[in-house]
Amino acid sequence: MAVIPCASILSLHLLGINQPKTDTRQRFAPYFPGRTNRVKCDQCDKNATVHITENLENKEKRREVHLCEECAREQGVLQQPSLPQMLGGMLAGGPEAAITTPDIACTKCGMTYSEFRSSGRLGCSDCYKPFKRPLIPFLEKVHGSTRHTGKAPSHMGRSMAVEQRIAVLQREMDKAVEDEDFERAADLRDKIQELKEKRDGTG
Amino acid sequence: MELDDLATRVGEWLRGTGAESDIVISSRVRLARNVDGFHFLTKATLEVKQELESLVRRKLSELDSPKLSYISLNRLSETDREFLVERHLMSKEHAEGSGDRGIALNDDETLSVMINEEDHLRIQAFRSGFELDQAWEEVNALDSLIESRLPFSFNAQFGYLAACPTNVGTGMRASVMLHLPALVLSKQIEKVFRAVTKINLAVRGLYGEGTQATGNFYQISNQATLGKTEEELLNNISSVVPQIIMYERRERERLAKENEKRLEDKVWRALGILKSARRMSSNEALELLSHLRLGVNMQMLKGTTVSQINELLLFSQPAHLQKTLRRELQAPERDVARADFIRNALGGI
Repeated sequence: MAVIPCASILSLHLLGINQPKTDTRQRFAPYFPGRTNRVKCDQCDKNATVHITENLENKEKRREVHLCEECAREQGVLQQPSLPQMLGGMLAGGPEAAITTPDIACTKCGMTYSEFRSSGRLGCSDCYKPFKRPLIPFLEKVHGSTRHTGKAPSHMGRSMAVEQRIAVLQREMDKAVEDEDFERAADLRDKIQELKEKRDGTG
Repeated sequence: MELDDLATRVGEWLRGTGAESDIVISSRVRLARNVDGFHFLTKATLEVKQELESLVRRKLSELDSPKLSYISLNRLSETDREFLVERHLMSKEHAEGSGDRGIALNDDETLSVMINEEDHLRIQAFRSGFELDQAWEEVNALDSLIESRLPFSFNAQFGYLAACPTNVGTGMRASVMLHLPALVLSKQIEKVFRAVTKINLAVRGLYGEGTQATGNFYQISNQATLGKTEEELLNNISSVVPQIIMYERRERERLAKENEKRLEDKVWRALGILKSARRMSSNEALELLSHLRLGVNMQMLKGTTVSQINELLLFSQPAHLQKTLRRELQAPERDVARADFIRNALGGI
């Protein structure tokens, strides 16, 4: 049985992709095998397990739909959006984006942007360069960030490690400010300053 | 390494040991890596795939410790590939993929490397119980070891470059598999999910993305892979898991106190069916064994152990059943064989 993975739903939700408004019961209904439900399916006589509240155009009217799993699947409600579909939707970014993003191609592997959009997979490590502009807002949405601060290969040397350390301390400082622990924030600020001076050779 | 040897025992993740192992089945951390200088697999020709497979395979075989055995997927039957998926050593996508690809693993199955899955390498470490930090240490060490022989695609801004931008940066997916029968019984589980998804974690079923949470088993994993250090991402999961464990324990206690007979009935009925049925699907087996597992953890049942039930959970899966019986069986025959197998195993209770 195919099931809507919460992950996709969550990403869709986070990314503001148009989805039928569903209550959480639909989101998680497939995770509860054997659970009984008193509402009958609108299409047949079975128990409904999928409940959808659709906001109609004038926003005042709502339509409630109750379906059993079979009918829901038949009507395409319980389909799991594929990753390319999700990516396509996110990367398209509305009509303006479509106009300003011509179909660029990676010179190394030949992957075109529209090809990437439909498959959801890049063709080579170089693709991150030509597709950088449309990728940045996507990464921002999915990861909440566009800069790596984790592990780096040892050949990247000390510079990378220092950059990472600065980024981590920066976040700790932001957190300290948020918690109104200003003493700690000041300490962290000094540490960051020290690292930056070392990095730039001004210390 | 022969697959038939594996078929005589359970994998590391079901050993039933480690911290909080009554609720946390296993902890897993995997890293997505691509070899520098090669196209990603979407743009790799068959020749390139072949070249990559033999290159990575050779580099892995040079390692003294951990010693990894290599299995080429091309020469495996469908049942054998399914067998490796059921043991969580590799993904379903890898089993169903095409072209030259394989998997390297160590003897106790705590480490595995998928070659030519979605990325050139998917390196993973598995631990029984709630031991995410140890899993990370192990996978991190293996990653560094491989990297010293095989440079990976890396860029200062985006980190480790993955075929799918949802994996870029750390390339790390850490997950914890939980058994949460009491939270499901008391219908409190949705609350847990809501809380978990709010802090950007994902909830999945027993076999990863798109699979159903059969038998009240759930996997919780990180969504984001970029912008935070591996430790920060792990801490995000590690901080929420003890709370879920606490909720599950509290629900178990509450059920035992307020609804003792309902709970006992559930457990004893499960045992009754498992000991008497003549046909059983793998989903039914998972559901019933899940209730039995709860009964053992709550000291309602004597004569069996969590590790025995874990073993039954694994060996009642289709490919494991066929490997144990050493013959290919169609679904209806499998259901009969499964019922027999479980009946025999639980005869002593």
